[in-house]
Amino acid sequence: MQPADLEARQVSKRFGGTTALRSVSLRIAPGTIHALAGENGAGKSTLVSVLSGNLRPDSGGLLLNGQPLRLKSAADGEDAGISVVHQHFALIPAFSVAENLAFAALRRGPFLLNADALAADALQFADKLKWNVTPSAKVADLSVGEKQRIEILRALATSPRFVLFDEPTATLTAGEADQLFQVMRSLASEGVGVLFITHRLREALSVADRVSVLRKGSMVLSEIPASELDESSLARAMVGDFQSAARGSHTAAGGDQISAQNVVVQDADRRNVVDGANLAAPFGAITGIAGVDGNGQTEFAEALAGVRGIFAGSITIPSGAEVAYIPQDRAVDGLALDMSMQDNLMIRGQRKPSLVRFGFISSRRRREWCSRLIEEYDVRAESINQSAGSLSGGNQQKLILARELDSNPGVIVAADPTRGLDVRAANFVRQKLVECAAEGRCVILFSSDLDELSEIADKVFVMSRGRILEGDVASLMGGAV
Amino acid sequence: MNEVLGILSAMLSIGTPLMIAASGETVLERAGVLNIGLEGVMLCSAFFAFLTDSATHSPWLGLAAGVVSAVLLMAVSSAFVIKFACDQVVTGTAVNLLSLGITGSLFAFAFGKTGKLVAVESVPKNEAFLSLNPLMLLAAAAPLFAWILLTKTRWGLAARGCGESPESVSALGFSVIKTRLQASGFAAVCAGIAGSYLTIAQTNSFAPNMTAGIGFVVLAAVTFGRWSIAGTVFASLLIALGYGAQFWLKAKQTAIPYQLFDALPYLSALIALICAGRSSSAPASLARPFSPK
Amino acid sequence: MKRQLIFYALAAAIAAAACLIFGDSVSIAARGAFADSFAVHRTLVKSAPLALTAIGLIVAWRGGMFNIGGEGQLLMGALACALIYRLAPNLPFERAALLAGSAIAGGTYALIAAILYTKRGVNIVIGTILLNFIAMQIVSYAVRGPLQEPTHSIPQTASLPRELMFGRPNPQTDLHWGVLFAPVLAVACSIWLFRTAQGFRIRLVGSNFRAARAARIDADKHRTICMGVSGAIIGLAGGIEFLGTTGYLYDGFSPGWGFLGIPVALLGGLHPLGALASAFGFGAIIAGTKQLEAAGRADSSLVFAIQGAALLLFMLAQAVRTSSLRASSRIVEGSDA
Repeated sequence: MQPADLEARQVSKRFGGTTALRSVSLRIAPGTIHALAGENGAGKSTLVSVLSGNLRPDSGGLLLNGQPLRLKSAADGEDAGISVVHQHFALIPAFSVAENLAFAALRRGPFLLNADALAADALQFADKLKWNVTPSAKVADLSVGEKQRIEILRALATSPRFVLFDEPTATLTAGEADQLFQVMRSLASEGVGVLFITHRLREALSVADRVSVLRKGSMVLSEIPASELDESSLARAMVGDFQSAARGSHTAAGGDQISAQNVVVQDADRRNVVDGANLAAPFGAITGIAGVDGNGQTEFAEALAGVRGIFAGSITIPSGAEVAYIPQDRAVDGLALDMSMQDNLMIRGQRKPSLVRFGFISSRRRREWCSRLIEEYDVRAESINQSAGSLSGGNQQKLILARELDSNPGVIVAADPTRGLDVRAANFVRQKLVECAAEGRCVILFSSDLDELSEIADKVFVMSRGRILEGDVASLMGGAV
Repeated sequence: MNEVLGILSAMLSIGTPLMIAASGETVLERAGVLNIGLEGVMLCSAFFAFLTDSATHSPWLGLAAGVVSAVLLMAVSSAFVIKFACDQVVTGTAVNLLSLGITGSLFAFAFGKTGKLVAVESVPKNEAFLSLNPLMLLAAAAPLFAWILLTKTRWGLAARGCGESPESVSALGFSVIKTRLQASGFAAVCAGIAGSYLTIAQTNSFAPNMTAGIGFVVLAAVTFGRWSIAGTVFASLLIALGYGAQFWLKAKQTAIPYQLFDALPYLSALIALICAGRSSSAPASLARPFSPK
Repeated sequence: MKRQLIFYALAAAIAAAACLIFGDSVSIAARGAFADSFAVHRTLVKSAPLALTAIGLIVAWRGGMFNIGGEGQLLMGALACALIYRLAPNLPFERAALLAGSAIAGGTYALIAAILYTKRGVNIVIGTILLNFIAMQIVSYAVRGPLQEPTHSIPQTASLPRELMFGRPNPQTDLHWGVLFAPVLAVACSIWLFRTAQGFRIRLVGSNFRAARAARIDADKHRTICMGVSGAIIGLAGGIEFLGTTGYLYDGFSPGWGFLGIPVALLGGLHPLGALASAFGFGAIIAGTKQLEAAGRADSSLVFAIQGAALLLFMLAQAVRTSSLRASSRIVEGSDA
């Protein structure tokens, strides 16, 4: 095995109006573990995609051992010896373990296939790691930790020179994570270059040789030896100076509040994704909830908005208060993209007695109402009959805001309402939320953007593993839990 | 004893086209394509096998013509659903209508509306015992071949990947479209043999719309068989047994209406779907069009 | 809109080519469909069941329910007429009772598929197709068993007396007043789907059921409603055919109206009023083909070929993934959720 460096040099990548990576450089050396830390949306996953060949950068490029490396696909990346252990498992649930492992090696071998033989290489690693793997087990029946082992075996089956672990610990138990770190160390000791993507600082410091930190698409710390860092300096680099805005000046209307007590929400597999969450959100203020994706925010937001049933606990909302809901995924939950802007506004409008008499919609009143909202919220479109899918992301979000906020709801639950928006549109959304709070309404803002929370939220909690935590946001975010 | 042989003979005769067509359809559905047009493809091959047989007096040339016509019709249908990512149900419906119209019109054109049965040469049969014929060997061979193809070859793994997660197959550098077209070719050959069988081995004649829903029964058998070859073979045999019993019952003049037995394949498929509930083992991307980036 | 234009341009080009090649046949067909009042009556009487089944299918498809079970629902509607007439031939409003029975029977039959889908996740396409074949066997049993005509010589039910059937403007043609149900229901369904809050919610569920869920709209409830209404309209189509043209039920009662309605609905742009227009076009093709058949130029099955070809042409002209044509793949996704 030739020792060689894999290097990304001045890589930039834009998606539409947002910059995901801004001239980022990173070097992975053989036999070392390099941790890359950063918040949600800092650009970590984009960088992994570029390094593995899944995405091509707009500018800058990759170097392998000093030579330019052009990757057209993930398959090319694999040929160059670069494997990825994905954050969301890329396994096929209906296949057996052996079939999944053989599937990864599909491009090689004879026409007649023996899945067990093809999987044998990967299973050798399992023996070496003393993992107990049943090749005939169906992947859908495995636990999360077991699935990740298969994902790792799959990545190792091609004897890669570089392994990129994309947020591997996000869903693991502490014991499972420790085992994973042993795997990383043993890989490094065999001369493999390991990149470890994480948002947990303690993990980064304990396992890595070197640490880099991405923040909003830029490298803020580059290849610092782990021994020279401590958690608080790393946390500051990652989230910036977080000031818990102690505004709280909006006077609460009669001290009313929304309260959630020991709320438990289960997913389809009957796991507690929200696991005893407590929250008190006053009227007249923005209550921020920070946290890394996948810690139960979506489910908690849906429970608060009445979209999803709760398994245990209680949510108390003062009687008569209408709840507006701005879902995280505009295109999937927020809008019917095939339908017109007018119809998308009618998702709320169909409940308004002023527009609907005896079940019939008055087309004149509907047109007037829709035109007024579109003007008021500055949605840029040629006609109200244009499909919602033809609008830009910012205009789509304004359409949702117009629809949800028009009826003066007492409570507003917003999940990542500025994700993917350009600065102007994002500011517009934030300003609207601030106005709502100033008018005495209760705004609950779920966001993975800490700057946003520090700017407009009156109080910020952190959601982690299905619970709501109170305390120093930067250290809670760093995973010092 | 004769009754048992009679039922068995009817069962084999009906079961053969079911098993052959179902083998092809299983492979195609595992690759993610639902061929609602199967009924039309079988009708098309039944007609062209009949036409060629009546012109050349060779059932084997008839079989060849039936298979070629099935492949051509499936090529059109596959171009729509696989290449252009059109809706599979609508395209299948169009293929069924097209085939019904073309075969009916050509039959009326070639043989007139006499209503008289036009008999054609049959494949050789062992009249002494169960009317066995060589095509019945294919009824055993087709499922076996399909099973090996799906579970023992690299192609089969890729094809099943196309049915579960075409994105993953594509990410591995494989062409989903090519793989699905190949699966469609196999299904077309199977449907062609099964359709031809109806005219050159089973009835030795043709009548407009003679398939009378057998293509849909095959679709039900694949669903009932939970998309596994073994399950599909079991479902086909059960359905064929229903048909066999029906001939026997008609002869027996029992009080049970024979329509109950005619409805049995559909009823049993429906009950199987109800029992399976949501924990369905259907390929995750069945009937979902895939367009490469 | 542009795609529709491409389709009509292509269709016109092909029709022109057909005129050049099969000039006399096309003119015989055209005369058979439009030449005189007899011909127009023929066209109208064939258009009505096409339009009614298509309108029924549209109602379900707009709600994201890919109902392919029109044939079974229509047969159940006709069967209900035969059954009610057999059990209670002298009700005060016999005709209304027969029609109401046909709508209830068709609706109930469609609801079976809807409930199997919402409660047990049974794929709506496969479920409704299977129910078609079961309905055919039920009819086959009924016309040979309990509902067979009194002499027990032919497999069909007893004929309705003339005065119970729909009136005919011209006794020399088959045209009956029952065809008026088609435009009435087309307008009513257009209003329901596009002008009422409930119709809006059904279309929203069909377009994006997750957006409906986020707006706290019960998707399964609206799916069930639209399937029930869909089946009721198609069942009524069976009742209208029963009361308008045949007066009795037999194996070949429906020449495949449930399947023929599918291209009519799609080419009508999945709009009830569009379906009315496309049903008239296809009704003319059926009437024209009948005339060709009488002249010994073609077989009546040519209609199926023309429909199949038109549907393929339409799909080709349509963009690869428009909302309406994606419905079935969404249903398959939904059943696995």
